[in-house]
Amino acid sequence: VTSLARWQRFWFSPVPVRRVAALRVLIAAVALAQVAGSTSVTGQARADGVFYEPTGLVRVLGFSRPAPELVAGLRIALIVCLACAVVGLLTRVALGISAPLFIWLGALANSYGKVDHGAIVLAFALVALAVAPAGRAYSVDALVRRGGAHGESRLAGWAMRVVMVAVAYAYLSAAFAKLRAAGLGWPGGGAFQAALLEHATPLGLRLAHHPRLVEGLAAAALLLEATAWLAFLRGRVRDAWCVAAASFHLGALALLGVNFLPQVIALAAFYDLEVGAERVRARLSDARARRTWPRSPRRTSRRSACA
Amino acid sequence: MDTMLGRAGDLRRAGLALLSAITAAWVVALVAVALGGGSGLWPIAPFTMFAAKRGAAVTQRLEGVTRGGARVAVVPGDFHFTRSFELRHYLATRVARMTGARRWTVRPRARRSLGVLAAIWSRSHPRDPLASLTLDVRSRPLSSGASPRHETLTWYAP
Repeated sequence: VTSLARWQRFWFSPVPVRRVAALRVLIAAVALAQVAGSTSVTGQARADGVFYEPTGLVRVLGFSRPAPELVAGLRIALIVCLACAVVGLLTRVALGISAPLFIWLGALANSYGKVDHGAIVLAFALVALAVAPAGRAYSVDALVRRGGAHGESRLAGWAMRVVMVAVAYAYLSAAFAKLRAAGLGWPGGGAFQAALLEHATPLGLRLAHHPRLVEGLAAAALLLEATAWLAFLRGRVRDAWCVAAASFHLGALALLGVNFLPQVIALAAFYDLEVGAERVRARLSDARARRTWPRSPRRTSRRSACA
Repeated sequence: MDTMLGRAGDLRRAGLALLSAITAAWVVALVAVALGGGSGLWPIAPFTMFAAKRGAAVTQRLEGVTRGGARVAVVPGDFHFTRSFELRHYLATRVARMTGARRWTVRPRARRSLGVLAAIWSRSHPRDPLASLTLDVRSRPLSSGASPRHETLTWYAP
């Protein structure tokens, strides 16, 4: 098998369309929660121009600083498009607008001196979902067409791979940056302890007084980041790594107040989501059946009483 | 019919080849920014948070005194920010920063940059503008035995 064939097989192996559709619901929902739940981008737009340092995409494209009203309007447009993407209404159009808007507003938000890493995976995921047939199941579009999608698609497989690679890249890149800056001694290099003292959450401040424990947790975090490739393996190894990653982010939220919820949600890309979605659907219909079951005998007994 | 199907197949293959090339470029870009460091081109950016070695934890705050004599804490919200990162970045790059446990780096024209912050604050508080603004930075060394360091820099209204 040639390298090119391996590359094509890695990126374009067909997967069920339902899988990418389920991922669309999750990713669009978490992006919607993030955009609707934060007004920081509209606040920044009203800030004095002295703080504005266009970086990345905003600088390359050479756009001037947008008016606060324009930023507020685009944020509302993004919220509407993401809501449509969640329910799968005009899915491709909704995602096609959401992805560039999310990236542009994200790049704009990073033009005030702080790079927001938490949204990077979401940005890549929205682009991939816009290309994939993500609206062919679990969507209003599918209901209107009166047909759920049961087939497989190479584009769906590609989109899932893009999200997986983006997730793994986040951890591997973080591990590489730490090892390059401080080598294997990074856990004892003070970065985590300083972050605990500076972010000053109640739990973080208590932990900061136990340097050995801090060092142990830092070493565990570095090990987790450096082994992100394990998520590509199926089975218990992947499950264990994903549980550890989710715990790591919950810990980061409690200790540092750093919210990487999108990253946790994106871990779902490593799973056969359509299986989970079908199980949820089966349980819901079971529950519905159980709710309606006791009524039948009553109806029967009433009928027999009448007779 | 066969010709049409053949053309559709060709188009699909060409589309996948194009997507494959774009994907390869994306992967190369990700690896390049990870190896190169810097801030990248968001969302193509390296994950460098908490990577650097640290000898001390540094906290900073801004305190102003108004013309009426009131002491006020100047916070990110005064500049329309919902987070502290933006203000911290401004202070670190334009005013002064504690680099490590010992070094206190004051930027050129640091007082003027503090004055810019004071002017922005005063514009939204025209009845009682600032007469002075002080940046207060505390460095707490992580190694036991080392003593904490405390530096201040003040701007006064002309």
